[in-house]
Amino acid sequence: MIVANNVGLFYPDGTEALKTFDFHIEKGELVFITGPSGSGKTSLLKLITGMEFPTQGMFRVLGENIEPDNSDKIQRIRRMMGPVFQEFRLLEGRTVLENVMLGMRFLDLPLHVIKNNAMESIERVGLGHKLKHTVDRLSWGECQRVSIARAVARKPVLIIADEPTGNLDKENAINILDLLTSFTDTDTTVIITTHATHLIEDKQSGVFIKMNAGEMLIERRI
Amino acid sequence: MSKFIKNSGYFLREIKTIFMLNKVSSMLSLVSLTMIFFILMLTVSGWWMSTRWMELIKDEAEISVYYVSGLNPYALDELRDTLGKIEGVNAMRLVDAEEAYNDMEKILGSDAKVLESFTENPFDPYFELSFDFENRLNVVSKLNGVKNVSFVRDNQDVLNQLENIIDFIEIIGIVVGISVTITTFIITSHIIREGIHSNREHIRTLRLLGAPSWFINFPFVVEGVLIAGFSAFIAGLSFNVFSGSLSNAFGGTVQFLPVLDVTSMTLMLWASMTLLAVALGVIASAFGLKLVSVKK
Repeated sequence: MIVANNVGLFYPDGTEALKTFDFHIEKGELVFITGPSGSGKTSLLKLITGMEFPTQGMFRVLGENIEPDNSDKIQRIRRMMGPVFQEFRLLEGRTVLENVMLGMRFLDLPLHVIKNNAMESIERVGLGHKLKHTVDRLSWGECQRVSIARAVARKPVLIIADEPTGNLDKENAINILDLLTSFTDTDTTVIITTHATHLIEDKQSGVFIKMNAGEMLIERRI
Repeated sequence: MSKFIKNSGYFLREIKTIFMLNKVSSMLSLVSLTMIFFILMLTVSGWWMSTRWMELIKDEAEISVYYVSGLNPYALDELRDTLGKIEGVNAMRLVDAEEAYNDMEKILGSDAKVLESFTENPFDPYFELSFDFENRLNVVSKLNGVKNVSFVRDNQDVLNQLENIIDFIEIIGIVVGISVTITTFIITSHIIREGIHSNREHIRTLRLLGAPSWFINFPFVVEGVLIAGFSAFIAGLSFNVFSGSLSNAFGGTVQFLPVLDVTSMTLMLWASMTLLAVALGVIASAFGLKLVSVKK
């Protein structure tokens, strides 16, 4: 699913965003990336989504190398992912249904399948009653759920959630984490970054990547 | 194709959103392009009419060949034969003194009374020659060398001046045409760039979701095409109303210029300008998209 061999990410000003690391993440695994702000969590996610390219080593996602001259392949990889952005990236003035459908419009799916998938995923995140509401009128937590619905509606093989619990109260945060975790049941790999380590301390299984100043410590719990 | 049809509703909403996000700028571009296309239509139609007039004048152009008085019938026949054999002379007829008098009477109209003061017909008979206009200098030169020819009237100065005017209009047409093409290109590219800038977060989201370039770019290209095409269409509509009086204005002012039927020219111009605008819209939008790419 994701393979990193001797990968490093250094910026031109000399900053070591990610110090040399190796790892592999398998299909259906649940991955938590934790660490304080500036520790390298976002940089790692950017590598996975092809927004940044490794300055050394070999980094493969879904069978493709993440390289600058591979933009078509990167777009194809992104179509197999379900990203949940920290800032949601929902289209204002559009309904919940329209926002969720947007993530599938360019896929090889008939319109009725797109609509059914969208409605199914909106139901699953508990917003079935707000299908026709514009996203501008939703609460923070609801926007987070729409963002998750958009990510999962296209039935991705990899879900990436960047700080999905940020700005949520504990109860809502746990609900969101449980919701995201539940997608591993369908062999979907789920990667979640969070700085709220207390929310995942009791998790019994998964890959736990602790990041600090660009260095990572990987722990697998089975 | 099925993806285009499937997403047609989405694309239409996107085009509307892009237009509304830059409403003032888009409207100003529309008005500017309309005026630019109107000027181009005015120039092209001016060039078309002047060319048509020149062709008509060329077709009707004649050379009058006067001969020495008192020629006997034998010498007159000989002169007729010689003139007819000159290369470039298409047809010829003898205008006698009486016909020449009547023609002048018609030309002078109410002023023809002046002719009554003559006790005898003051006009001489002459040969009226139609000729190959492109070969006129050669024809005139040969006519002047024919025995018994006393004077050749060819209106050379007037014809040369008309040709110069038409050449000038043609140059103006080319310059205006190039200017309009460049201006349309710049305005359309600019409005597309503005649209991309206003929608950059939306575009970035689509890229992060893996949307292919055609899906992201299509609404912007269509917007550019619509703005340029609609501008040309409105310009054509306005020009259609205006053109009726254009030919009359020219033809009526200058008496020897015939009134032209501009209906077919106007419709052709309208259609071709709209097509040109659509093509320019596609190219300029593609260029605008190339200039502003939202990477990563």
